[in-house]
Amino acid sequence: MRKLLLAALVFWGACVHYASAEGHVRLNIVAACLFQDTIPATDTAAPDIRLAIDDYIKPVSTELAGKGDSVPLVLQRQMPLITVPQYIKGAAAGLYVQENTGEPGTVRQFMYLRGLPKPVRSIKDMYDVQPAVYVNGIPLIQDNPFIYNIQTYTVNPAGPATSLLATLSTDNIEQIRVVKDYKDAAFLGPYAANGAIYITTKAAAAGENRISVNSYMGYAQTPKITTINAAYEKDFRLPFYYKYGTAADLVSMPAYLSDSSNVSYYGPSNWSDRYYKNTPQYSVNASLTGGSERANFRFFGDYTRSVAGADQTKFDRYSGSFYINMMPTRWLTISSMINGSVLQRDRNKNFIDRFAEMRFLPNSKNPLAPNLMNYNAFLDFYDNTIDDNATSSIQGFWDLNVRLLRNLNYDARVAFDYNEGRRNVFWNSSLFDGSNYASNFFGFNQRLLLENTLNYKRDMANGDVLKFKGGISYTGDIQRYNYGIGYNGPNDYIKVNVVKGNKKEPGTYLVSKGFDVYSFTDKMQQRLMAFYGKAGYSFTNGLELGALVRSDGSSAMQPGNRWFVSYAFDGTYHLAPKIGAGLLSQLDLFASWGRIGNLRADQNIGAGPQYQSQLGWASYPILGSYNSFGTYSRPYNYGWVGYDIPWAYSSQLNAGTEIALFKDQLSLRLEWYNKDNKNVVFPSPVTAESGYRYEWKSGMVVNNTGLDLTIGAGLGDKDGGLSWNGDLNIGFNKNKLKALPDGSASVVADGRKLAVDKAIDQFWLLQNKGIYNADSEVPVNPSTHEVMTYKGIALKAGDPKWVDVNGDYNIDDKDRVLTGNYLPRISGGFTNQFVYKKFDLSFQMVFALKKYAMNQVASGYYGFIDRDNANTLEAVKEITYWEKTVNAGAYDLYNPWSQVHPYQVDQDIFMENASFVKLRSLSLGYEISNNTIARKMRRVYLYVTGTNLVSLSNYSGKDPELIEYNGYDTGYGMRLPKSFILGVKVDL
Amino acid sequence: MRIKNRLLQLITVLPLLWILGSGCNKILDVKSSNLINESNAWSSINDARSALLGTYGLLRTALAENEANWLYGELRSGPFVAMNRPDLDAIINNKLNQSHDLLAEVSNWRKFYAVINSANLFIERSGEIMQKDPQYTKLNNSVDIAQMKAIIGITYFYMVRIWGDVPLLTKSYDGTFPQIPRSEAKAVLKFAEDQLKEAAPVLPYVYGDPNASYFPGFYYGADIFTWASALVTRNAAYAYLAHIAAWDNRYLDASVYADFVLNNGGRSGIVASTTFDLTRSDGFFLGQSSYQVFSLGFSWVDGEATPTGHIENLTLASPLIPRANPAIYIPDNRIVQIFTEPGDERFYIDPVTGTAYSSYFSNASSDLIIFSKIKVVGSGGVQQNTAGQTTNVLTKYSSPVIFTRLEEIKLLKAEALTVLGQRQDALDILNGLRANRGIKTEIITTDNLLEDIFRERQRELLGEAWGWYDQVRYKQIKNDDAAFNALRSKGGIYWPVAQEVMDNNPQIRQTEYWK
Repeated sequence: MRKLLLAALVFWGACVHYASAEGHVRLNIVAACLFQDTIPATDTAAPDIRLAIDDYIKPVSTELAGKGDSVPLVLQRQMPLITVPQYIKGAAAGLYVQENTGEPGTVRQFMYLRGLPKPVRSIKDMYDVQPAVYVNGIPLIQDNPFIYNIQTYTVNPAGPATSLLATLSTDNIEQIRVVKDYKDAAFLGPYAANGAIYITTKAAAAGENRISVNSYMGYAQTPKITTINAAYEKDFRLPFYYKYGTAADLVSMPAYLSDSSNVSYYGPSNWSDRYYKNTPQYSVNASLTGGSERANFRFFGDYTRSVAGADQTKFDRYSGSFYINMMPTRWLTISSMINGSVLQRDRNKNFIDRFAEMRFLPNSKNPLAPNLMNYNAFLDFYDNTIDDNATSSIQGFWDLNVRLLRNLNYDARVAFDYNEGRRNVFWNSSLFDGSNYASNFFGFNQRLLLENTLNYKRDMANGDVLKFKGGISYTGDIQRYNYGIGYNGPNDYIKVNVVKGNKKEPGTYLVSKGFDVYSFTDKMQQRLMAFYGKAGYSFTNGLELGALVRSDGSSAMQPGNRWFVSYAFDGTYHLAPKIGAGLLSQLDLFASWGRIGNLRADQNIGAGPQYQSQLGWASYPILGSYNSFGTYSRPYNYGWVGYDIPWAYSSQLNAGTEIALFKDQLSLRLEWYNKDNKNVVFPSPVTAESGYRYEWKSGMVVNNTGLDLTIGAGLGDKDGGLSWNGDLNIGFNKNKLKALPDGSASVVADGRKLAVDKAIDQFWLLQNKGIYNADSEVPVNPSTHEVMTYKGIALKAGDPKWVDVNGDYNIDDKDRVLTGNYLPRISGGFTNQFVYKKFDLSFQMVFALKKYAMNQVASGYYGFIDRDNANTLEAVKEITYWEKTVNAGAYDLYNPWSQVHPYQVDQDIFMENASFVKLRSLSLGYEISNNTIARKMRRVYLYVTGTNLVSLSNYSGKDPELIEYNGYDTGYGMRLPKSFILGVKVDL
Repeated sequence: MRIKNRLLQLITVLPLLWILGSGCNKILDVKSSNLINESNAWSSINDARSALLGTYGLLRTALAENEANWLYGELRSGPFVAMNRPDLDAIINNKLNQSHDLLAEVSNWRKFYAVINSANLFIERSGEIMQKDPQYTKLNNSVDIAQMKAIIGITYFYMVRIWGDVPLLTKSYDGTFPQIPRSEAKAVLKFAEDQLKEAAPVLPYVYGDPNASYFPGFYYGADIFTWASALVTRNAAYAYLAHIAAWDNRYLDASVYADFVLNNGGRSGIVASTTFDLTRSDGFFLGQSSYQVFSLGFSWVDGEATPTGHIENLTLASPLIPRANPAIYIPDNRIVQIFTEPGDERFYIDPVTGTAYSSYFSNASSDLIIFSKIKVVGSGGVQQNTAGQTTNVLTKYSSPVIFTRLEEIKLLKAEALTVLGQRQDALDILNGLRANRGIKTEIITTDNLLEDIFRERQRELLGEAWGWYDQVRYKQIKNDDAAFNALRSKGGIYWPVAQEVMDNNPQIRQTEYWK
């Protein structure tokens, strides 16, 4: 028995060596342990029962919890956050999180882990570059971008467009690890090719029943903004009219500007009193943990409301989790989890969102009047409308861990993740030029996961430890939606698209009563099968070696290329014991190399040569029938898909060191990586005579290299005096296109150019060198004696001096140059905690540097003639048009009537440095532990937190973070709200 | 107890064995619901219908996307002028080498080759269906193949009119991308004519008529009304043949082909239209009818109406649709120059009373006069919104892309007769057509017969994508305009080839005029 105990100890020393080393790491990097020293932030006191069992080998779901960068969650638990990207923002080196709107619960939040793995041609591609999010080993299923196939406008996906990562409360999360290294990611397989966010929830644990209650309440504050009215707007425009306009132009100035007696437009611009409001937000959650050593449980329930303080948007989450661990016999443990949540969202009232949903552009070019009376009257139209957005989500697993032999464990696991989204819309005729609109959306995503693992461990006579792990896993996904839209219903009282229900009349059965109806449905099915084996060997001298081989089969790949075999190797050398316990308390060197296959989100490549129903065009993609009959043809628009398309894969070399100094008071972790995404399938142009736009070819290579640096410090008196814990993380990243299919040097697609040896996130712009003040200044081609043209149109006075790069006296796409980058080359965060006696003061700063954005808002404001004439969704003016975001005099005074579009956005004058440093949160806490209370409660902690407090940036627009995924600032993003909350955490 | 434990252990291992035993590759075969792969295609009669109509649909896309049909045929040197649209302005003024996005897209012939590819693929593959599905008869297949051959001929004819010399692809090359140079326009035209001539005898006059003497019975389960003008009939094939011959300056052939349509048109239900029918929103241009000879439809009833791809998207404005200004319009003074004939129902200003009779044009909310001959918004007729107001808020149009109609064929016949010297016969046709439009004066002299015919063509076919092609034929017949001849000889009457096309196929050379 003693032997066994010893073996178990050794095993733990080796098997979870990292975990013990990670004890240091966490302490140092994150100072999480220090946090816990000072503030017991956890409500799981006793360890997992299974840890007490001899020879217990962890199931897959918990194994990775001990690896990768851990995110310090202490401060996040004191902030009013709701989504996973928010929790990890600025909290790990190499991770960049962009919230491009403050609207609570929206899908518009993106994570980039170690750069950009492939070019983003449209919003659809963003789904392919996100890291996977795991909850207790379940890779969460996300929405599929196939919904965009039927959308004319891609402002938001149809349906509730609620983030599926908003289901978890920070108070239920034990830890979040950012898995970047392929040593660990390869173990997770293809889902983790872009890295993984590995979340472990708090577990059931034995002991007397313990209750924890967390709650906060606070307000999102109205921002300080400068509103403007038509007088301001007219003053802005008049210099253009005086300089370039004719008398007729002045007469045809939009009516809302020319009529200065119009109080709605010329009166006070106080719309913001209604748009922005101090809005309460709150959260309460409680957990109960307890049970015996043989059977224990945890229950968690949460209600949270999140708001933006703008446009009456809000988000509500109701969630509950239940965990049970059981050990019916000594050789068998059973654990299970159920997480359920319901998410509801009140969305913005943007025109853009509404028109995109309705696929309709209005006639009126006039913005809403900035006067509160008018704005109120407009909002009153919404009284009789419906816009319900609800998402339900449930995840769970059932895990069986069997000790077959003394050194052999078998783990079986069934897990599922299911979520469904509904959106019901009715907009009445007042909002829609006399017509009304109804739509109903239902969509679900479903994932089933079966996993079997065998674990073997052997202790060598000399103290070395050998471990084997082999596993099989199967994942089956089904995604589907039904979506019906109806126009012009009979009246504003019938808000639902009712259909005729008499089956005996097949001609009219299910035909709408009154609405002009269009309905859409689609289904996507994917399966993934994996076999893997992993071996690890730990020498007593501090060297650890590991190797992994896996074979993944995906239904999304072609039958001849279903399977992809990949490898990973790693080595770690713990040097510290050799050097001695002087200055260094830890010195590790580690390196790994691995390769992971990349999954596809569609079925097109796997099908090979195929037929689709594609008779539509860019502005109307949904046409698929001819003369009422469904049709199919080769996918001329989508592109030819041939045979023999191999798996795309990424391979990553990772090397680094981890150093701890002065008894772990200072620590440093430095990692260098070089990651190649290879065989990326990309649509390459083909001969037009084939009828196809593209051929999907593999062969693109994208490289990301960078450095991740984390410095931690825990200084000072830990026994009640002043102490300081700091954690600074910085990620340096740069990407490069290394090859295109067929060895081409460059390709132009969707207004972007990709060139080999250049970054894939660059802008493609004209260079502007000022203004032609007179016609005579325009250069003349000496050979033809014709003046320089812009796309064949002669340049005149008042037009920009664009640089004629190729010297052909015509400015066109060939004169555009690749410049700037929209992803930051440097990003990171800085977390600090000062503790003095029972007080603690924490703050988090996040930063993104060497990052640029295109100020499309300014382009649209200055190019007002083009905007007024354009019949596009981008030209629509929201109520926020009356907020001053553009300065007069910031650009040369070009002729806005000129046919060369002098203020077009794709020129370098609109590219701005969008680097920023933000004080994201500041929190002051106090621990109550006087004797009377302490007897009844284990812990009471009070705090007050402010979020989004200070932002430093040279960017002239609203916020350098509120920028679209492609680097263009369209002004869409709602401000990230400044908010204050007061919270309490109680452990009973 | 021991046995029970072993049993439990066994049970836990079972899921593992199940996974191993059930064959991984089979698990990974997932049927896709939003595409059809090779093994499921070409296997049933429905596949034949889907692929056949898909080809028609691609031709519809080729002509409708970006309103290309009108950009090619109506705008160039036409009476229309553009408003706030430098790209359309460039087309009207024949500055087709300005680099607007629209011009780059419209000068790319890819979408026409998609039709050619799809039709060739049908010809090559549809025979497979006969082996798999006995419902698909030999006759049905031969009629379908004849339609595809006709479509190939029609598509090449469109391309020759637009680009002149174009690459001639006579098979699908499915999955390979050979680089083929441009062929002489004349050779391509010859090929197009041969295809249509080969197809014509096999094509029926009508589809889906149980009483027809040739190819009777429902066609793909649908009746004569469903198929009216949606598919290429024998008459449609001859209408295109007539125009191919005329474009090639072979007016004897053109006359013979046109005669075929004039003599047999009734068998396909091709009849004349009144001015009222022609200018109503729920008349000739609504949906599909046999009057339209061959039309690529956007039926409202079938949910195929679209917001773009129609001339209405260029010409209409408030109050007909909620848009302040049209993209193109005809200035007042041009309208008066074109419509000079007293009593003309299409447009006429009585010089005595000053009253305007206009069914082609209407007043816009702005001071402009908008061209509203074709205005099929929604289901045509009067559109009402929820509030009961008569407005066209949902601007989806359901007018089809039309090639010809009886009046057009008659005018072509008159044109051919004039060239062939049978001027009195030509004049009779012309006067008959003019009378149908309410024109009170009869032309008695044949002195300016050709001019008179082409002026009538301009009035009658305005907005139907004939203007530019008529000008080319007119000047070809007259052969007295040196500047035009120079333009023609260098290829200036054609569109330039898109840069993208040349980038992807180095064999393609730019048309001389546009270099």
